[in-house]
Amino acid sequence: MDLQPVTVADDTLFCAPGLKSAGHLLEYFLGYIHPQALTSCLISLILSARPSSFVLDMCAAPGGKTSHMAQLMGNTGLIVANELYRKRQIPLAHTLTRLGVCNTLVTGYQAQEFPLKARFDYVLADVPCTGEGRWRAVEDKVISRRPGALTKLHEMQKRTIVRGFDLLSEKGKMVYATCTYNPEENEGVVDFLLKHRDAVCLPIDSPFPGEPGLCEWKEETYDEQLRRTIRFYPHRLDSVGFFVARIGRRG
Amino acid sequence: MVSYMADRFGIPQSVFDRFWLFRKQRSWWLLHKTAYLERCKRLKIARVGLRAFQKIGPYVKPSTRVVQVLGHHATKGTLELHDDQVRRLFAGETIPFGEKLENGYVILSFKHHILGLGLLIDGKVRSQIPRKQIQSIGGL
Repeated sequence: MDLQPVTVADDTLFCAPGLKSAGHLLEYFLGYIHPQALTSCLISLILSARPSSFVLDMCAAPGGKTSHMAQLMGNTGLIVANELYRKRQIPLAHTLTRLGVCNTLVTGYQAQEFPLKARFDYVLADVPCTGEGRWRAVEDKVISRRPGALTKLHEMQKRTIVRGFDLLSEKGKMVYATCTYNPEENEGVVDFLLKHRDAVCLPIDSPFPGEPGLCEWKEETYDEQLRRTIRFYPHRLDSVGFFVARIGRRG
Repeated sequence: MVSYMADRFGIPQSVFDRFWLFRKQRSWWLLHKTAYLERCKRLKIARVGLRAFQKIGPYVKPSTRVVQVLGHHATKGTLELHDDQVRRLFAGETIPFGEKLENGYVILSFKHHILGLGLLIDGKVRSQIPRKQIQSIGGL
């Protein structure tokens, strides 16, 4: 198998060009590897949860990012992997089990209503989205949502980012991510947080080329800080399109 | 469970010092010790850590995954397989176990990678690795 390190700085990610199905490898059964889109892997690197820290993954299934964070944390500390739907908790549990993750609890709350009973060092809000960034990757390219459902989705994303921020400890860091291009699900959501909380967009040190976030879209204008967010496009990275914002508390 | 792993496989009890074991019904779950657990006591938890042991009848069976995670600490009760033995075990056949050992579980490894558990009965070993998980592995 031809393996190429993705970046010099990281030893957890490798590209395997030509590999059609990782699931048929002995290494997959042994829990040594987990296949993921490159941009999906970057999310955990951007959050950079330190070993022995306390982490919340608000929408954890199917567990690729959760397990990558566990690896980056050396299987120490504690990750609360939240997933509302029971049927999605099954692949989440399967991934965590296969990879031998021993530092994770699974909860089943609605992300936007996760109880304010603990404060976390790191929060990952990789929220449900319209998935436009996956158009090149999936065969079923038709994503249809009723207009009412789309409004509900935006509302849920806004409530989730605010709840995630409220769950951060004083010096905590948060990453908000989607695999879609729609500014209403990306910059619009982060802008909503900046308007309603004492939050700041933090710079992102990405090992890969991305475009800065938008500060205007149609009639909307967004906070200038949105330039610190990153849009990853498939034609630049040959991977799934992603939007990432790294967020902290002001001051 | 901890003394069983020490007696059967020579896995030092101190290996478990950094973990908690939680019991739920017939299973035990392994979680890395952390002070953060205290902060989660008011959350409704669906699942904790890695399933490590399961009670089957009067016996306690370590899970494939906990053996993969901790099996490299074993000093006895292990069987290093060669290619043909792996193929036969995965096909559902038994293979002979050369050493004298009481009937029970043995740790199976291949090229020094821990595969999981086998069951030794009267000198013959049968794979205990869930067949569903290994049937799709190519090249064996």
